[in-house]
Amino acid sequence: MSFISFQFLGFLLATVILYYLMPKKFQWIFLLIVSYGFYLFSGVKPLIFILSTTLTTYLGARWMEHNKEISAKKSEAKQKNKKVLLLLVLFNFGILAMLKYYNFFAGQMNSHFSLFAYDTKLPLVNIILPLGVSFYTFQAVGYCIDVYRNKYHAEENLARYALFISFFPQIVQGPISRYDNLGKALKEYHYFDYKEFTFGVQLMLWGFFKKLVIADRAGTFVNTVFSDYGKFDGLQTFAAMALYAIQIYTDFSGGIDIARGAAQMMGIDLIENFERPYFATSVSEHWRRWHMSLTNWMKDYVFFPLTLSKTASKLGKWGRKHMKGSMIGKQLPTYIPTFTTFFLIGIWHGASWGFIAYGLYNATIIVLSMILTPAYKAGYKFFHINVNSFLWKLWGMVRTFLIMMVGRTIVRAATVHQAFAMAGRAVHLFDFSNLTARLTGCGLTGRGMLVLFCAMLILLAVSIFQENKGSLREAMAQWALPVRWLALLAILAIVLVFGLYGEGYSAANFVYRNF
Amino acid sequence: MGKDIETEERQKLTPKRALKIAVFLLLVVILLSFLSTALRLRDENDATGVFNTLYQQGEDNKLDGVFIGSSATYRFFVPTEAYRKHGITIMDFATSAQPYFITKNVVKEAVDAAPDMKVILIDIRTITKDKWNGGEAAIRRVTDSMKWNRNRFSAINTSLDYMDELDYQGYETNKLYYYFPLLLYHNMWVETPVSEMDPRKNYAPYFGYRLTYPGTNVSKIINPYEYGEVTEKTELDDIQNKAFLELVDYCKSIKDKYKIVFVSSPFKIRPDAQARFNYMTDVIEQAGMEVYDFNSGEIKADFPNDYDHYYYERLHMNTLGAEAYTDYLCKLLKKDVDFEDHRGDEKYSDWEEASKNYLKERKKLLAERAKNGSKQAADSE
Repeated sequence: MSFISFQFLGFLLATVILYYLMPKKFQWIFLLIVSYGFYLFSGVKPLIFILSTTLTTYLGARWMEHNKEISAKKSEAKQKNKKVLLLLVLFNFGILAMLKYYNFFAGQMNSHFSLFAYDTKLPLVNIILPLGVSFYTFQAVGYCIDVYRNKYHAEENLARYALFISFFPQIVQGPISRYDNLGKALKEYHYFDYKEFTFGVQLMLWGFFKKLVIADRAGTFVNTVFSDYGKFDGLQTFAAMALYAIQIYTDFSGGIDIARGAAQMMGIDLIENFERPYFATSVSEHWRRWHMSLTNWMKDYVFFPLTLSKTASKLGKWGRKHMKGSMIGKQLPTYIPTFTTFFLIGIWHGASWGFIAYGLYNATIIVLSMILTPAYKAGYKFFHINVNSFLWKLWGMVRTFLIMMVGRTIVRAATVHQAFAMAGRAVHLFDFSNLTARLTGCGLTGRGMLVLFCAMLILLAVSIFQENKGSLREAMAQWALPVRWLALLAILAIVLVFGLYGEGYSAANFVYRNF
Repeated sequence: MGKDIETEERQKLTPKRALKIAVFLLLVVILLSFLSTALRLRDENDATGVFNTLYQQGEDNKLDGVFIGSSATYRFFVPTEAYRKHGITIMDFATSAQPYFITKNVVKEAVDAAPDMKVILIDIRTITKDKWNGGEAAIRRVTDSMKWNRNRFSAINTSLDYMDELDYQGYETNKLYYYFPLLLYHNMWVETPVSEMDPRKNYAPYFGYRLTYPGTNVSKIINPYEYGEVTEKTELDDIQNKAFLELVDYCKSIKDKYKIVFVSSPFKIRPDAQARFNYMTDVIEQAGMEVYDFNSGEIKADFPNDYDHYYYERLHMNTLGAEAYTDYLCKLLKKDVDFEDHRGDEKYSDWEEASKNYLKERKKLLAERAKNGSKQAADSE
């Protein structure tokens, strides 16, 4: 069931009403039933995968907890639990790898077999990815690692744990929650709170605005140009690349807003996943603002463990000894973890060379930035650049946006080669003549482009407000009632009239749903 | 275990807050209504305007009757002429290619809106066609324009059932898009001129009639008399018959309150269609209702039809023909129905106004025809 369907809105309304009407002690059971009911809309077979992840990680965590209780020494328990954890990680990531990466792997192997004239061919399998498999697998494995690290005790109640894994607002496209936050929230009794309820509705409305008015409309332009880029000039190509960067952000963050809004209506707070990433002044900062639940997961469970590992420590010592005084010597232990982390981020998105290239592209930029930091500082000093000035920050934002725009093009293009060809066209074939006519020849009418442009301006204005002043919803709550209602009705009207939904539009489901 | 704490900080649902939610939802409904009107389906005869006119006239209790049907009604019967010449207020409650399977719902809508009227005329040329090809738009002209009531939902459900039975392809089957047309039409802003996106209620300027150029656009209208009288009777196919009998049954249930007449307006009817109409005439008359058949029998012989000047094309009369037809029909009705003459009554000032406007437009069209006529004469020289 798509978030942008009328069925979902009806489903959500009924769920929220019943949720508050029923006895508080049954609320979590009701949510569990509803969550699995929601999951069943995607089919019965995918249920096998979420159930197996739920059961194995629940039992694994309980086993680790048991080992801690019965072992005489902590080190003994740790040794046993390390094996259990390894088993859990291998099993669950193994399922994910099979589902997501087998066909890619088989395809690559088959082409190599052909190269060497072998007759062998690995069979390709018709696989439909279970809904949210990337999200709930990471969430479950993260839970197991936290239990291993004694961050909290394993959940005793299987049903409560199952709810943490399957909670329906987050199952489609995240965020990837932590058990100490979401698990705790799901255990509490929730009484109707007018502010939480209305804030949740407002957040959902904002999510629909981003998804239906901006993302899907930008997608029309993007699809037209990317599908046959050779026909379009530099301006059109550049516009498509930039609009894809906007599309992927508004699509994903819009979906997250809808998920968070739905949860907030029930008094449950899901973690933020975006913090205006295109306001970042560096690629590192961008990743601290983009898909934060994934990057924090990678940071906590991949980057830091690798950076703090014995191998990294040895490498660091070697670097400091043989590259005395140099920045590289000090930073050496972080390079491999950085590349590893971004490689994993890349392939988490999907099985293709494009995603791998995307991950490595980001890692390269970040590592280069780290290496060049002393040179940058020297340059700022030499040219008397005030790095805290607004203009310099604006330059940083534009530069970062352009870098991320190229990176995202690598993902969106059919091949990596196409991505760089498009980037080349955008630079070399740039032409400002007949601007309007050329921009309206790419799948959107003049009115469509105007609506898109105005919607992006609204998004920009809201983002600037949030960046400087904090929560817009809190600020709106202080406005006079008629003004607040006028603003909300205006956004609702914009979504109803300009949203790309209903008859004639394909269900442009969330891009990240397929992850 | 769950946390059994209700914090004092939470904002409970007080009566004041519940009222705020209710008022906001009401504003949302008003907004939806506003947007639905601005972005409605537009067709050649503005079906929404026709329905709005019915509701308005019915509310003011100003209707003597309604003439239900399709373009065989709204290009044939001129309400303002019926008013001007006879003082009768019968409006064309007709939509383009009106689906015969929901004519019953349309009749019911008229009865509910104007319960004190005297006459219900129903043109059933659509049923006599061998195949209805109106499509989804024809259904929507009716259902989108109806008020939110049970009859509307009945019309939607009936339409979709019949479309399924007729094995129609390429139409919307999701009822939500019929219940809430805005969900379908919200993107009309892409092509609709801003000036046409008028959220104000619209009304039919000539009470449902569509002014047609008082000439012809074809070289020759074939005189149906060439076919001769058709006396055969052919039963309708199962689906048509089912809808027809449902309509007759409903009309039978209200015939004591209203004069109900089924009409076949004059046109170049094909013999097979006439044979079907002959069958229908039998059924209607047996049910105790009347038939005005302008294509056979006494009425055909008596009506001063002029195929050289009264028709725009084979299926539809022009303004001149429509005026003659209206006049004749009113005289027929006046034989059985005691109509009050509303001319001069201040309450009917809108009919007076519409009549004047009609004559003005008619004059313009005649001038245009005269100009075309002299141009054609000059070209032929």
